[in-house]
Amino acid sequence: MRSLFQQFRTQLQWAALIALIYLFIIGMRAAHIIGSYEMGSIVMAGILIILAVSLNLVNGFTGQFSIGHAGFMGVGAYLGAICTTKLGLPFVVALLLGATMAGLVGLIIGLPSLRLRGDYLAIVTLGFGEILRVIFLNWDYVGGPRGLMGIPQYTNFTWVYVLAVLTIIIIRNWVNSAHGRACIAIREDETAASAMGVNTTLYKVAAFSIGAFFAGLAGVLFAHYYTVIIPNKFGFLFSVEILIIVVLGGLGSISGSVLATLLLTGLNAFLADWPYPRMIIYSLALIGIMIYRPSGLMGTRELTLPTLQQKRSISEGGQQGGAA
Amino acid sequence: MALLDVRDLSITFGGLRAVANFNLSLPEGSLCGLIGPNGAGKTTVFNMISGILHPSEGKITFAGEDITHLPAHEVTRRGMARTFQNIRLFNNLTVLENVQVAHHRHIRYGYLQALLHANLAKEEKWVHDSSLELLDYVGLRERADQLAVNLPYGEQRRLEIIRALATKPRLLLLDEPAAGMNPQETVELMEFIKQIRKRYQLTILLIEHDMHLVMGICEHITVLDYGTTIAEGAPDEVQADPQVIEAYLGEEAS
Repeated sequence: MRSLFQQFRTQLQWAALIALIYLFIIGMRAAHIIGSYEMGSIVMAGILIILAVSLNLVNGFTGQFSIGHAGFMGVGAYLGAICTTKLGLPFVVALLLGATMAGLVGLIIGLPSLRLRGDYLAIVTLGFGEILRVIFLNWDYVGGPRGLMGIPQYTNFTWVYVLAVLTIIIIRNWVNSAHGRACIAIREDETAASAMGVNTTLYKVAAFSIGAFFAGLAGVLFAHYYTVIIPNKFGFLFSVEILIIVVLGGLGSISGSVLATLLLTGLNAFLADWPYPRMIIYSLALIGIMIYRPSGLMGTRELTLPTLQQKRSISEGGQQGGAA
Repeated sequence: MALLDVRDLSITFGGLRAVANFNLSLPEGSLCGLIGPNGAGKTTVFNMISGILHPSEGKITFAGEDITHLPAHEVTRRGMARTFQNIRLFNNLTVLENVQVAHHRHIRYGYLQALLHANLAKEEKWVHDSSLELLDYVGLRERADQLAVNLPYGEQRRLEIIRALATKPRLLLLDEPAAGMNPQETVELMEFIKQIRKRYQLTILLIEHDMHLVMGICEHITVLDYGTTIAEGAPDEVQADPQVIEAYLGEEAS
C-alpha cells in the first residue's frame, strides 16, 4: 500500500505537469508560435479527449460495445446551444444542462438497450444515435437540416483544457473505486460478476449514463467553439471516429485514449497539406498500429510518472502485474 | 430449521425438462454432496439456487426467505456464494482485484463519492486488507499482483473459492472443485474444504464427480439422474443403492 505521503507527492507532480502543459501552450500561442489554425486543432483534440475517455468507460472498462456516442454529444450540443442562443442563459448553465440532459437520454436509452450483449447492443446504440440525429434534422426550432447558427463563441482553450482534465480525473476516480471495479468485472465475466454480488444491469446503465453525460459536455463545448452545428455532424461516422480513438489507445486505458487522440489529431493536422494521400496514409497508419499493437497503444495499462516508477504495486514485495 | 430448502424445483428448456421435482434440505452447518452422471442436471440445479437461472416451477427458501425469483446478485447479497465448474475468474484482473471485487456487497459509499474520490479511503483500505488476509490464508499473497489468467490451474481453483468466500457467505456452493485435479491435489482440496468450513462456519453444498472426495467429506448425498433425484442419504447408503450403481455403471453391471 502506498503511503499517503507518496500519494500526495504523485498528485502534486501530476498537478504541476498539468499546469506546465497549460502554461506552455498558452505561452506558445501568445508568442505566435502556435497559430490560430493549430490552436483550433488543439481545442478539437481536447474535445475529442473528453469524448474518447468517456466512451472508454462504456466500451473499454465496462465492455459494452456502444457506437452511438456522437448522438449524446449532439444532445449536449443542441441543448447547450439553445440555452445560450435562444434563452440567453450563461455558458456554465448551458454546460451543466447540456451534459445532464445527455446523461438522462443515456439513462433512458441504456435501460432497454443494455439488456442486449455484443453485436446486438452495438446495433441498437447505432440505431438510437441515428434516431437522435434524425430528430435534430427534422426539428425546425433548431434550424432543421441547415443547422443552428449564431451560437456565441464561449469555448476557448482554457475551458476545454480544464474540462478535459476534470473528465479524466472523474472517470479515473470512478474506475479506481469499488463501483469501477464492478464495471470491469462485468467486462471480464458478467455471470461471475453477478455471482459476486454486482448488479450488472445497474452498473452497465450507470457507466452508459456517465459516458453520455461527458459526451454531452463535449457537445456543448463543440457547439460554442464552432458557433454552427449541423445534425449530420452527430451521426454514425463521428461515433466511429471516437471509437477508433478508443480502440487505438487501448480498451480500458484512459491515458491510451488521450495519447491516441493526440496522435491522430497530430497526424491529421500534419497531413492537411497533402489532401490526396491523406486518407490513405491515415488508414495505413491505423492498419499498421492494429497489426503491431492489436490491443491498442496502451492495452489496459496507464501512463504513470517515471519518477515514481510504480504501477499498481499493491502488496509489499509482490511481483509486478505484467499486463499482457 | 434448514438454511436452504428447495421444494419441487423444475425447469424446462423448450421441450426438455432438465430438472424435475428436485427437493433438497440443507441444515445449517452441513456439508452435502450432489452427484450424478454427466448431463444429469446438477449444474442446472446450482444455477437455479444461485439465481443465474430461474426455475419454471418450485420454490427455493434461503434462511427463511423466498429467493426463487431473485437475481443472482441479490442471492449473493443474502449470503450465498458459488464457484463455477469451468472456473470463471476475472482473467485480466490481478489476483488481488479478483478478491476485491467480491467485497462488493459490503461497500457502503455511493456513486458520487466514487466519482469525486471523497471519503472512501477507509473502506478501500478495509477491502484491500481483508483481501490480502484472505490471499494470505490460501498462500496466494505472493501472487497478489499477477493477472488471474497467469496462475496455474490449481491456484485458479483456490482463488475462485477464496473469491467466493470474500463475499462472506453462510452457504457456499462448489461446482466440481476437484475437476482436473490429480489424487494428491484432491486430498489437499478435501482438507482445504474441511478447514474453511470450520473457520468460516459454512454450510457447503458441492457437486462432484470424484467419488473419493464426495464419500470422504460429505455427510449427506443426493444423487441426480436425468433431472430427477434417484437416491439420497448417507454416503454408504447411497453407494450401495442399486439405482445409483445402475446410473453410474449401466444396467449390465447391476
